[in-house]
Amino acid sequence: MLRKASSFPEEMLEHVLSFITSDKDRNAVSLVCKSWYEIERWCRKRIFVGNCYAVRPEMVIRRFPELRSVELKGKPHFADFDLVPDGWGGCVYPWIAALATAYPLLEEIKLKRMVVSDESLEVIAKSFKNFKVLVLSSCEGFSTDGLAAVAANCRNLRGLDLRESEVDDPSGQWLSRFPDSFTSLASLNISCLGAEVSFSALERLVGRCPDLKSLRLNHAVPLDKLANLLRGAPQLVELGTGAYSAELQPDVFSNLAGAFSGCKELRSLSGFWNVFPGYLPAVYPVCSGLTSLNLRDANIQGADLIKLVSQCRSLQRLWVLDYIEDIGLEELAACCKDLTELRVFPSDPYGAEPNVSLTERGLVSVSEGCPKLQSVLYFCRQMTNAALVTIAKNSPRMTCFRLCIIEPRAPDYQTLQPLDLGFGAIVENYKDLRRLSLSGLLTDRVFEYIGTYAKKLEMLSVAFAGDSDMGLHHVLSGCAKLCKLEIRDCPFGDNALLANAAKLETMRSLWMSSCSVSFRACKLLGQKMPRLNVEVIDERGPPDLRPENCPVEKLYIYRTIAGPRFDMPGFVWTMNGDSV
Amino acid sequence: MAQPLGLEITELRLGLPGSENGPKNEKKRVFSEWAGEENSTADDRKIQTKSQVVGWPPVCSYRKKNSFNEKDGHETSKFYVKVSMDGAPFLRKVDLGLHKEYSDLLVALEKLFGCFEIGKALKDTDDCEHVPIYEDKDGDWMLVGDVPWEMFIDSCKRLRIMKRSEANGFGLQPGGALKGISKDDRDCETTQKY
Repeated sequence: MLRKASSFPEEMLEHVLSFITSDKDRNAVSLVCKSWYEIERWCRKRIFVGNCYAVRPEMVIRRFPELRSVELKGKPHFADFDLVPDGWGGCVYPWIAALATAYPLLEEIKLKRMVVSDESLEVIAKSFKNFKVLVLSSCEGFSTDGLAAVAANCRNLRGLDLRESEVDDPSGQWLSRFPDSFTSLASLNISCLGAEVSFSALERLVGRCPDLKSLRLNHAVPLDKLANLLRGAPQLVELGTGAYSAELQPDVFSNLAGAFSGCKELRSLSGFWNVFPGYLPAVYPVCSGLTSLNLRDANIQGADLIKLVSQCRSLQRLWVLDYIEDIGLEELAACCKDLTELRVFPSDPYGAEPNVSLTERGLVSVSEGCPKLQSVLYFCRQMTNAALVTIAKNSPRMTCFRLCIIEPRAPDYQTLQPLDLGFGAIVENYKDLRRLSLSGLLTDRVFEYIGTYAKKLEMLSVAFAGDSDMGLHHVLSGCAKLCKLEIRDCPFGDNALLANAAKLETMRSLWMSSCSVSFRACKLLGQKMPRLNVEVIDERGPPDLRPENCPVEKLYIYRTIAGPRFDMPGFVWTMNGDSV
Repeated sequence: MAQPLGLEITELRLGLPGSENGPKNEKKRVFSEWAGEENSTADDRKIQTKSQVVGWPPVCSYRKKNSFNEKDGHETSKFYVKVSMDGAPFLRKVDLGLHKEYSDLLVALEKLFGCFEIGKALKDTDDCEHVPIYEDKDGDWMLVGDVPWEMFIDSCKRLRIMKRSEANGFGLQPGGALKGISKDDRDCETTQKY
């Protein structure tokens, strides 16, 4: 009897695959041969769909019958900045309805930038008996009614995370819908909720869930009640406080400080709305153990801020407002040698004049003092090529670099030159750079550098930059790994886009708004590339009522195997062979 | 690999930018005209009054709408109401707080549904195909446009753009509640998928 050469028992391959969890690796496995494709698809448990319109739910269900976790993203990233009009799309309901029928054992649903109705939440609550984790990141369209359904029905819920979502009719009563017998909660993030939640329900919930490791409160939870919560959950690893102010009373203070001291596992702090600085020392006991500190919403300034940050010697991630100023960043660089991620946000983004002394020097200090720096988001009002070159040389591990100089097209303030050379040094030195956001005065030259050096770049954000189509051409023809490209207010037009049409099928999506792409080019692209959806977004009315060479307002192009979508509002048109 | 799609791409030169003068300058000129900044230097730009550009600087809009710090003066009142249109498969939402008067609102609705004659209803003509109505605090359906704007946004719970053919059966009277919307119709609306 002949045995097949190289017959590898399926069960063994399945067992090996159970250790392979990254999507990229799983995808690679599935391409080896037909039998590996089959084995892999039957045992894939998690799926990430970066664009909910790239594939239809039925296609996912047909290929992967045993999923336990589904992650979806909807609107393009620029929706965060009001560039995607309301009603554009991203409704999750069709997905939820399909998943409910296909996967009764589904445990996790994670959504980002999607429109989630109360009805969707009700379906989730009632369809999945073993449902464990719901993450709604920057979502909207639901109210506390939907949350009440989840609380009442998901007996095994471990995580409910509403980060950055907009919740309608925010009343607090839904928390009481968690039954008294419910004790499995490990993670709760309600920081986005606008109104009060029932504190007694919250306190009881926190007290009866021994696995609760992550608790992010909303601003309405008062400071004088925080100590009670902490004493009920000394095992917390992540805490987001509520409003951090109250009249300074010694007993409230010592109660709070004592409660913080009891939280020996605390590694991450956030929240801190409306800080009354007198209460800050209450957190000092936990500072030395903190690896993550998010002061994004904290109006702490000056010495109070520096004192707090400089005690966090183990800090790896810091998000802070520009109140930290150059002087605070110098201190950070001296104290926090393990820093890997820094985000500095503008306290007064729309002010004409700077309100704080935060310049390029702050970022240079951090790059000099923190050799492990990998990820930067930095809003400032001035920059030089020299500073960028220094920063480029100091931080070889950088994978994500986003610089936002608040004034569009601001040049090097010392030489008045464009910042091409500075960003050129950035892409040349950061060999592992995966994400880059540009700002300041930039010519086509910077795009030439990017196309030449940024070979691992996956996401690029561009605004008010470039001179001509060559800029766009350099990026599309040079950046081999480019996945997402988003552009606004740049003089990029038809030629580069049409010349690089095939490139678009290798990317997730391209967004262009306030550029120079004509309706004619959009139609042509839509006709020639059936596996792209070319969506024209134009609130001025139907584009065919204007001359064909008129530029469209906004353009969103994404690859898809689902064909054109049918849920578009009145201001979105898909360019397809037939519908044009 | 780039496919030219049969278009002339002779304008694309892979030399260094600025090495040739002709076409490049043309493109520059076109852009600056379009951007409304002809011949402005860095100094000029500083002197110009700052007009706010949408979505710039790129600060998450979630933060603007939901800022809980007392010191922030931003008052964004959100009067989001759901809007359904007969024949359209999806509910939309509209923020009444963004509008100052009825004509504003109707223009927004027209854009949202791609139906550009809703505004006619304001002019009291009988020949528009769609009629905008709203449900008030008491649960009655009223014709949009009859009460003063402030009273409207105070009492409007949701909007519906109804086909005139349906409306005719309801004894449409300006200023009065619409009789004759049956409970069945109400139930129908709540089952529309969002």
